[in-house]
Amino acid sequence: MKITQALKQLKKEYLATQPSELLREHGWDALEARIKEEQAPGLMRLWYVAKKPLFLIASVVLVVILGGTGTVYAAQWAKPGDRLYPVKIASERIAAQIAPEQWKDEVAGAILHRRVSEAQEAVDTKEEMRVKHAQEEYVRTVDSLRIAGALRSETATKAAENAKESIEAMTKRRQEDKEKPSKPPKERGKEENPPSPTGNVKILQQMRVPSGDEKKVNEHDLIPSIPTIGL
Amino acid sequence: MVQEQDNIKFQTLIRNAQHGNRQAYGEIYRMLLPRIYRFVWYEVRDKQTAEDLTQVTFLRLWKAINSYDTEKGSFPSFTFAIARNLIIDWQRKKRPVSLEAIGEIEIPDGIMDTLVQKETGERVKQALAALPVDDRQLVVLRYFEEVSYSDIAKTMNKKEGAVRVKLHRILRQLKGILEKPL
Repeated sequence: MKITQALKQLKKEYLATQPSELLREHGWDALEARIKEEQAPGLMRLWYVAKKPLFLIASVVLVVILGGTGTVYAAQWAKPGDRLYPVKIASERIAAQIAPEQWKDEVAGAILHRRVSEAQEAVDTKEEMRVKHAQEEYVRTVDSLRIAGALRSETATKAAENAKESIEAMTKRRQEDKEKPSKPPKERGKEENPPSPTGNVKILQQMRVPSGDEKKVNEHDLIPSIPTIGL
Repeated sequence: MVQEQDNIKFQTLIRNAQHGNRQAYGEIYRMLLPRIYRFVWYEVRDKQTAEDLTQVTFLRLWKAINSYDTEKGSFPSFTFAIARNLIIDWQRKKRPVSLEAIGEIEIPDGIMDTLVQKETGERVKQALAALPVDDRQLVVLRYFEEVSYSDIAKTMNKKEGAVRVKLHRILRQLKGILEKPL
């Protein structure tokens, strides 16, 4: 048997290898979901994570474990300083502790995202006490996630660092705004900057890295990047 | 003619995907999936790992699609290059596959007509498995995937002449194994 013949035989065997039916049928759907997630701007990326079926199942399990009470459910919208806020924190701690190893990153990411959102809202209200509460809650959350073993992976640690940077940048910016003397009104038609964006994008674009550099902060740099399950 | 039309269609899909058209990229995915999967599987020899690495290949390909132009060879070979890098990363983290493990792979019925052929095929297979990754991938791309020398050179970041010489040496080596008495 010549070598070329032997290779031809092996080629037949090689070509007989096919991806599983599951990959052929659903591989693209899974990949497209991942692409959408990667393309989504910062905060939206976490929405994709939170939307995942496994995370939803985990949330349902949590509500069931806690007795499925309306209080726990209502507490999920509580803000730092609110009466129900400790219930929200307690439910998060349980979620981080009971989450299986492969879900821990996602749970930690979603919880950290909550802290960043709360800090943003607190900064928006311009209430000193709310901002302080939000900062303290971030520190407590990181501690409890660490205890729950949800910050072991490099991704989760990075997510926590990013969340910290986001909150620090927000509060620093707020401090700078407070200290800045009010500008005299500008002449019409002599705007220095183009019209600024609104909402979260505006807040994120206004953030600065707390290193002192004048580097403009990209929204993507501030948002924890969380791996996905099943892809 | 049909092949030319297919090629035009494929180039259109690539251009559309480069403009962010996910549907076009989905078509490309379906067309290239079997080739990329088996190329990965041949190295990792594990279904789950092969599927994961294949998906990551296509994710990276999507991110890198705008950097593709025809100067970089054919689009499949551009994709093979991404898969190849992932395989190399994966192999760095894993122990090399033992010959015993490769020996356990079943040969589908009807491929080898006689026991002698089977033994010969088995010896070539084992010899291929024992080759360094780069050498094995040269054989796979050239003889199994029928990729041109020039595209292999681009995929593997080598000169075309070097690819030809290397393949010639590998074949001589495999031939030497075959000619040894059983």
